[in-house]
This record gives sequence, structure tokens and C-alpha cells, in this order.
Amino acid sequence: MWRYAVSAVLSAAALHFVSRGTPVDDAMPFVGIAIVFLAWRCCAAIEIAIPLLVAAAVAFPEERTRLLAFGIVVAGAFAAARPRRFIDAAGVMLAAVLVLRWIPLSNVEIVRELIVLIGAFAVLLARPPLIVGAVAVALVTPTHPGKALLYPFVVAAIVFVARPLSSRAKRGIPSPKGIPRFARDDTGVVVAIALLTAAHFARAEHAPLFVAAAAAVGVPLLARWRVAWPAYVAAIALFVLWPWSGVVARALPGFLRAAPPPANARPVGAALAASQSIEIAVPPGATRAVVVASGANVARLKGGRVIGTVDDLPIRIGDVADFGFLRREQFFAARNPLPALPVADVRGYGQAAFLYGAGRIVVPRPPASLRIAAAPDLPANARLQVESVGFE
Amino acid sequence: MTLLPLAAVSVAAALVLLRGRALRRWASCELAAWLLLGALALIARPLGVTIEPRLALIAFAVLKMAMLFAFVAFSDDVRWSANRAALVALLVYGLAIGAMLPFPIDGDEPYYLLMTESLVKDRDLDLANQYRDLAHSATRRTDLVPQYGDRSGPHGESWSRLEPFLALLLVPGVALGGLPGALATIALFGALLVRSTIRLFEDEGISDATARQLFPLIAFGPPILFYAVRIWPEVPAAFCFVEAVRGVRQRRAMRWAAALLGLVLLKVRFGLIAIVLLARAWRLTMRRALVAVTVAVLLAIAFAFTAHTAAELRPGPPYFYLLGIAGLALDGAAGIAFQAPLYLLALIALARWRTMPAGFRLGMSASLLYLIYLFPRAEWHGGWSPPLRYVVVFFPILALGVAALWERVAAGPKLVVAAYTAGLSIHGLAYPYRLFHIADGQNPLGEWLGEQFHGDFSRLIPSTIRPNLAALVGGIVLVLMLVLFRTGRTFTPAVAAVLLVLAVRFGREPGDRIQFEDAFVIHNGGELYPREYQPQRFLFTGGWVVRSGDSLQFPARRGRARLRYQSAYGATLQIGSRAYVLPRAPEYGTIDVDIAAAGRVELRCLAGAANLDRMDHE
Repeated sequence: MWRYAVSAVLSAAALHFVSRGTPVDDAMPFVGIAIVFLAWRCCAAIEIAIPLLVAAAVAFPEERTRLLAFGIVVAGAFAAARPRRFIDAAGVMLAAVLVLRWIPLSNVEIVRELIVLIGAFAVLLARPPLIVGAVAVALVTPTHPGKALLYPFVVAAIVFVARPLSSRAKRGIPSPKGIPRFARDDTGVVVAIALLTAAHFARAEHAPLFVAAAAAVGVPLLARWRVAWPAYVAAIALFVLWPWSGVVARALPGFLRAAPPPANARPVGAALAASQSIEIAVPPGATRAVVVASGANVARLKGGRVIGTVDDLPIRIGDVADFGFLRREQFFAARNPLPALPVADVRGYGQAAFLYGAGRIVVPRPPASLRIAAAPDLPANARLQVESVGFE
Repeated sequence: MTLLPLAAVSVAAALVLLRGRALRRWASCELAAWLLLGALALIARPLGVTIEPRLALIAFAVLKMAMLFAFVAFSDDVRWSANRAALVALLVYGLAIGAMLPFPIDGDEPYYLLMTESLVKDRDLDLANQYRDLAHSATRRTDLVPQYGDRSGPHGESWSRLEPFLALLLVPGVALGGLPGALATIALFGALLVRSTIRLFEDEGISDATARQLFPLIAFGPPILFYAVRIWPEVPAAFCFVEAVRGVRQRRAMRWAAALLGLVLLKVRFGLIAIVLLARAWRLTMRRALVAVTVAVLLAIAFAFTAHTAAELRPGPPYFYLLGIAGLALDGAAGIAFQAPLYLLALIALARWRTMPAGFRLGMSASLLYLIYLFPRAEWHGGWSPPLRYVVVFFPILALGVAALWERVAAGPKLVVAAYTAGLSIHGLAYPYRLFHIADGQNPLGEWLGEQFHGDFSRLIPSTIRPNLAALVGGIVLVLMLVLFRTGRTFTPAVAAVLLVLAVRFGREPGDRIQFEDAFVIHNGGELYPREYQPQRFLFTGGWVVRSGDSLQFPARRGRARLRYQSAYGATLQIGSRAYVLPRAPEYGTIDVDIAAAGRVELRCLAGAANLDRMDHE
């Protein structure tokens, strides 16, 4: 115990002194303590992650590379953590939720986050000792509006009800007679499939909630059938992104389609109100133009709504989105889908990270000049933001 | 290295070493690792993270193999034997050869290959025609010229100073496959070395569990890895040495006699090892003594035909011994502590001589004469070669010392050593050319940190090539460690992290001494002295030559400093706002300068030219 307490202090100090100033770097002492906790409760070898984190902090001056290295090392530490008792599993879950949700610390709403933690414990209690589902549920739980905080408790109830009856029998709960075998053992399968189906049909902002609930119900079943490893791999791969956990919670899988704007893109920086337009000259010989645009105050508009044009090409919600609709505060209430061709522009850190809502609009064979105009029926405070234009 | 051979070798190695539940669990982890690699590749693009593909692939390969060997080390369902270990080593070395091939061979390597080509094509050792036709040589080196010390004949013949036995061994490989064939031959010896080492462990009572844990660190860690996939005689010699030790221990005269003969034919300097082993074998029986005498006569004949002279055996000054001993233990570029840290435990084992296995004591006592000869030499560090060249032959025996101590060592040091070893393997395989260092007193780690932070990190890493304070401090720490080490339980990974942080913070502060040729100095013009690939560069005093208009930037402390330089005609330098006239100094001279404020300082050459050696803060 004392040996690990000393290690925790040393780790925190070491990681504090190599901090390079981003909120994730600043949170590394806290992550270091979490890792020493894992080493204490699960496997002493996990402590090697501490010098690796320090080495990564020193070796990678480039921010994204460094944070991704942090992500890989910490995900590796969590992957190696094999809790032996329920109390250890609860500890690992707590550490994972803190890493995923409490960075940056300045953005944490303590009471709401504590409720999320209690909800995650409820999910874990409903089907111990597998923590993947509980962590997934905690990751996607919105803190706004307040009623969304009920989500993990609802999931816990579903997980409890949907767990196989034979596992209830193991715990001394009598199995009701007359229930067919399918219903006795595989209720969870039906529930998981139903939740995934709901995720498919739900609007983009609600889909993560259904997917996480399906994971909470489904992973124990996969573990029961000894085929849970793909789920674990996916969980580890997603955990790698903890320095941008907000992106994982709200922008997957569309985030993986995101690509940087063209290398030669010229910044435009125009915000067009209804009926306003700009002209952009096209260099001779250009075969393709790529307009990077987003919306402002358009988060409540539904997919397909035209908010502007590039010459005759309509710009719809779905080609672009509100620039900040993936922010934690706005996401649950937004109606935008992720742009079809999203721009790789991650802003913020940790749970506050979000993918900027800009999209790429490809204009084949552009004329001598491009006229970009905002739709005349755009709401009064809404804007079409032209970020940049690139030519190929 | 590409993904398909990596997958094939992983699967083959797992099938050779694992079974049952361990094999199934490994298969799950293997699939998971590949999926994770794919996921990381997907994630990296939208995040805008660019990683050098070669480095990423080799890091993945090393970590994945580490995962496999973790199963081998800690599972019960394993298929373990020396032969299986050797087979897996051969597979992995094959993979490593693939990683090495894109880079040209260097040091003595092309000369061995040239000799082999001469044997294959001309059936002689005259390299004159090989030098004339380098374009068609498998060496892929068109810049080769005869080495210093090579002999030439009256009709323009050119004979290498290197012993021809290794070239002879390479003949079948080169005849069949050129350079890859030569490398495969050495890898075969590497696999044989692994087999012999594991058998030595078994002979000396080391448990299977310990052998399984140490196997990857020894076989796939430095220095064995880097000599098992390159053309040097060290790995075949190490194999011969282990077999000789095993032969003497088992009183099998034919085995040790053949092994010793091979050892000395590979490099005559190894005769100094053979002499001690022969002395040990002498005590056995008269029959074996006769064998020994025969071998000794053959050795004497071989010695007569080498470039070596008896004068080389004369003892050097005591200070040179100190440099050699401390260097091989601690030097950042060429010492055990930084280039093969696992074997620090072997040094501790040496300090517990009486409790060590008899094979270890025999092997290390046999090394004594050789080491006494090596320590005072200016080239103790191996010259233009991967680190630890001259002592690679002893590493299997040192590994036995490590194995004898292994179960007593706490988890913390083991973890740190394993992680560091993996890092060295990744670095060496990803950048094979960095295994060669110009022996200027810096080291790859210090240079890289210096370039990153423009601070003198090399001063924190011991060097006896260019002796520094860190070497003195490191030497004291090493002696204390040899005396006090019990289990190392206080050296946890967290402590290692704190030490790393302290080193980084301290390294960023200006030091007392500026070596102007070092990587942390920003050079705007000028040139390195002596030139980068100067043979036996370590015999020179390094410096940076500046001429009018050239400037240097470096961090320095405030106050008076003494600048050491060499200038045939004098020069004028500006440091900060002051100009200094450097008098003519064909030999080295000094001049006092003032640094107005701590921090980054610019030194500009206004007129003339000077070779700037160093600046010492007073």
C-alpha cells in the first residue's frame, strides 16, 4: 500500500513537471495516479506506463502526436488491468470514467458528474464484473438537459432485466417456470438487437445512447459465449482517444471519414446572413474546387435543409453542420447530422473536445469565379460560414 | 519489413512455443493487436497525426513479439526447449534481416563480404579486382577502398587485414544468395548461439521459467540482435565461446577444442580467451592437454599471419584502464548501462562471484586476459561498429550471470530494463545506421535530446571517450550499486520516471562546458573537425571550425569563461556585444571571455578562422 502511495506521488510529480500546457498535459498527474491505482489493484507491471508517459511527454513536442501517444499508453494500461474482485472492477471503472469524463477538470460539473458515476456503478452492479458497458454508458451520458442524467439508471434497469435467467439462478434467484429456453437465456440478445436497431433509426444525437446501452447489454452475453474480444478491442481502440473523449462520445463513426482541407486551401472567413453572397476568383486550369463551410446558429435545423448555394449547387444541412453542434452543451438538443465529408478539425480536449461542424463541398469544373450565397430563408441569427476554398 | 512476413513469423513462432489455452489466448491477442493497428491507422488521419511508417511498423512488430514472449514467459502451456528457442530466434532474425537490408552494410562488414566474393568468384583472397569492380559487388558500396593496415603485394595485389575464416564460413550463403545469404548465415549462427546459451542455462541449473523470461531479452535485445543480423564475426565467436565453455565444463575435449579453434580463427584477438580456457582445460587429463597443445600451435601459426603484433600486448597506462573499464560499463554510446542495460545485472553478478554458477565463473575468468588487453586500447569501444563490439563474445556468459541473479531481482528493475531493451531494439531496427557512432563523446540519446531542446544533455550521460563529470559520478554510483544491490525493489518505474524528469530539467539548463561540435549547438556555417568519417576519429580532439561570417548559438551561463581553440593565423570572434581577438595558436590556446547574461549566446566569427574546441565556465 505505502509503496504504491509513494509511487502515485512520484508519478504525479514527474508528469506535472513534463507538462506542456494543454489541458490533457495538465491532467496527466491525475492520470498517473489512476495508473498507479490500476497497478496496485490489478497488475504491478502496469506501473511501467508511468515512465513511458514521461518519455512520450519529452519525446513528442507535436501536440497531437504526444496526446495520441498518451492515449496509446493509457489504453494499454487499462487493457492490461484484469480486476480479480468486484471491488477492483469498480475501481477500474471509476478510474476509466474519471479519465474519460473529468478532463479538463475546469469543465466538470461536480454534482452532475457524480450522478453519472453513480449511474455507471448501477450498470456495473446490474451485470458484474464486466466494466465495458458501464464505461460506455458513462462516456455518452449527456449532462444537459438534467433529465438525461437518468439515462444510465434506465440502462442499468434494462441490463438487469435482460440478463440471462440462468445467471440469476447462479445467484440463487429462482427461474420462473414455463418460460421458453430462448426467453430464459437469450432475452439479452433480443434487447441488444432492438437497441442497435433503434440506434440506426434514431437521430444522430441519440444514436450513441442506444449503442452504449446495446454494449452494456450485449458485451456480457458475448463474454458468456467467449467471443467478447472484438468488443474489447473496439473498447481499447476507442479508449486510445481519451484525450479527445468528447469526439468518441459524440462524433463516431463519422469522425473517421474526416479529412483535412486541401493543402492549398485559402482562408476566406466570411459569415453570410440570409441572401448575402461573396465571389471568389478561380485560378485558371482548376479542375475542382473544394469549399469548406459550416453554419452558425443552425444547430436546430434538420438534415436536408438548404442553407446556401455555391453557384447552382445547394449547400444543405448534411453537407455542412452548425460549427459547434458537437459540443457537449449543444449536442443533445441539436438536429444536425454530421457532414457527409467532414473536415478533420478537432477542437478542445477531453470530454470538451468536439469535431468542428464544417463540411467539404466539392465543385467539379468550377467556372471563372465561384459565387457563394446564403439562402434567403435563413433564420435571422443564422449564418453560412465560408471557412476556406481550395482548388485542384 | 512488411506486414505479411511479420504475421507469418508471429504465427509460426507461436505455434512453435505455445500450446493449448495459451495458444488460444495468444491468438485472440494477436488478432486484437492487428485490429488495433488498423484502428490506429484510421484514427491517425482525421487527427492529423503523421508518424514515420517504418518506425511505426517496427515498433508494432517489436511490441507484438514482446506480447508473444510474455505468453511464453508467464504461461504454463508452453513448448519450451533450446531447439525451439533457436528456431524462433532464426525466424525473428530473418525478419530483422528484412528490416536491415534497405540500408548499406558498414564498418568491416563490406570487407568480409568482399573477401567472400573473392573466394566464391576468384578462389583467392586478393581483393584488387574486387575494388576495381565494386559496381558488381553484393556489398552495394562503390566507395570502398582498402582499409588501414591492409597488405598489398608486388603486383598490385590487395589483401585484407581481416581474418579470412568468417569469409570462408559465408561462402555457401553468398554463393546462394549474395548479401541476404551472408546475413542469413550469420543469423544461423545467431540461432545456434541462442540454442547454446539456453543449453548452458540448463547445464548450470537455471530454471526454465527464468530462461523463458530472459530468452527474448537476450536473443532479441542488444547487442546480440544487432550482431546476429549483420556481418561481423562476433556472434559466431560467441557461439564458439559458449560451446568451448560448455565443453570444458562437461569435459568433452573435442567440443572445446573445435570451438576454441573456430573462436581463434574468427579473430586472432580471441586467442587471449583461448589461452585461459586452455589453461583451465590443462588440469583435466594429459590427453586433452595434447589436444590443447595442438590447438596452441595452430593459434601461433594463425597469429603469425595477422596484422597484430606482440607489442600490442604491452600494458597501457593505468588511467587508460580506468577509461576502458568505466567506458564499457557506463559510456552512453558504447557502454552496457545505456546500450545493453540488462547486463548491468551481470556486473552485479560479477560482484557476487562466489555465489555464481561455475560456468559463469569459468567463462568470465577466461575473459580476463582479453579484457586486460582491451581496456587500455584507444578503441575499447569498438570503433566504427554497433555498440559493445569487442565484448559481444562474452554476452552469453554475462547472460548466465543475469539468469543466476534474475529471481532475486524485484519487478521494478526488470520492467524498466525490459522496456528500455525494447526501445533500443526498435531504435536499432528502425534506424540501423544510427548503431554506428563517430565516437565523439556524445551518444544518440543525448544528441537527439540536445537537438530537441537545444540543451547539453550529453553532459548528463557518462562518456569516457570524451571523459566527463557524469562518468565520474556514474562510476561511483555503479560501485555503490555493485556493493549495495540486493533486489532493487526501491527502483520502481515511478522512480525511473522521476529520474528521467530530473535529467530532462537539468539537461535544459546551461552546463559548465560547451563542446562546440555537439548537436545542441546551432551551427550557422563552419565545419566539424575532424571530418565526420575520419578513421580513428576518437584519437583527435574534436571541434568546430569557424571562418569569417560563421556563427554558433548555444546556451551558456553568465560570467567569465575560458575558450579553448586552435588557429594558425588568429581570428576575431564576437560573443554578445563584445569582440575578442584570438592570437595565433597553432597548438591549442585559451582566451578568457565574458558572458553578459545567462541563456542563449551567439558566437560569431568576424575575421580569420579558428577551430573551437570548448568553452569552460569559471
